[in-house]
Amino acid sequence: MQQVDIIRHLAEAAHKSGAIVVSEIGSQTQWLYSTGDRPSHLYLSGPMGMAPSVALGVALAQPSIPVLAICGDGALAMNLNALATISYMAPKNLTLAVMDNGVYDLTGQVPTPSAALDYEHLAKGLKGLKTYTQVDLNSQIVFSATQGLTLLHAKVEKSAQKAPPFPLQPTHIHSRFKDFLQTKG
Amino acid sequence: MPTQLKPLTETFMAQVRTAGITHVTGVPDGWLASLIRQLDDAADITYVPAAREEEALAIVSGFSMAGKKAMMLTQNVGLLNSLGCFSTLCQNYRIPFVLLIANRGNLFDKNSYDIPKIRYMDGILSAMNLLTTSYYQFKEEDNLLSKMMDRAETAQEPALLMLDYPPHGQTVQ
Repeated sequence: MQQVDIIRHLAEAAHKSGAIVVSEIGSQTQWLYSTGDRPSHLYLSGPMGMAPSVALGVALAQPSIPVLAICGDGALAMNLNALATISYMAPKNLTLAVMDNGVYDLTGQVPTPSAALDYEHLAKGLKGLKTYTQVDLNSQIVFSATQGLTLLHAKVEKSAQKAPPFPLQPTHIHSRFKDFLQTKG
Repeated sequence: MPTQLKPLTETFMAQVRTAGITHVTGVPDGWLASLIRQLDDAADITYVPAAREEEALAIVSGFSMAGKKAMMLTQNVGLLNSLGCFSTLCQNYRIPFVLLIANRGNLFDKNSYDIPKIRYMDGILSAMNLLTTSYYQFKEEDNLLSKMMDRAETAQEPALLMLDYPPHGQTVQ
């Protein structure tokens, strides 16, 4: 399974569910943008690992809107302590999705340390987590604001192609996202 | 020590509410501990105890970008831990929030390990051209926290509020 395909699958499910998507810097932001740009997408451009934490802040600030954070396995390993904080707060509207290909996709595809992680066992240690699911392109995915804290794990291949360039500027992403939230009332 | 302001924890919660701040995160410092307890107990305020300061910067950025008036608490060395996040997220995305910093290492601190913190903090603040405001230079009626929030929103950037002395009545640690 290619990362771009599961990201498209998740993004379409998020759009149908009215969910916000926070994407990690690097291949997650670039592939997400390539599948279709939306104002509900809060693309991050640094530093690596902060998507789950930004998404936690958004989820707590907007508890009636489902929030999906799309993370890489390497980036998540850089901010693994975020899982403790997120589990402690346990917002019901937050889903973390880990794209696990075992490499830093945009950095010469050199290995990440996350080959040493068993996400299913890790999930069992997160007391605030309600659901852990291994997902693929056949998974029926729906996001809701009341579903409980969720961790999705997608085993993906190293990208066969480089992710396309990402043209948006941070200030534009920020202001557009705020405008989007105002339209949601 | 200046005496215009009452003890931090007696007055700061009222200032938080007057400023409209509803969402707070941070990593503790001894000078901030009483305030954190009050924030954590307050039913009208969401307080997130972050595991690390870099993470807290990302959480407060999420609060702010999602439309909330927000604040982060940290010791000065916590900001030094997190300069990449501060620059590439908080500054690049122009995110307004109040950053309350226990500025450890001045003459009121007797621990030798705190001294490098203020030395490097001063250098970094200068190198990054960051504006700071010292909490204890203001009087109670100045309603400083509201002004800091206004400044953050006007400038579209974090507003740094420095606690340069331990809160009144608290043992110097």
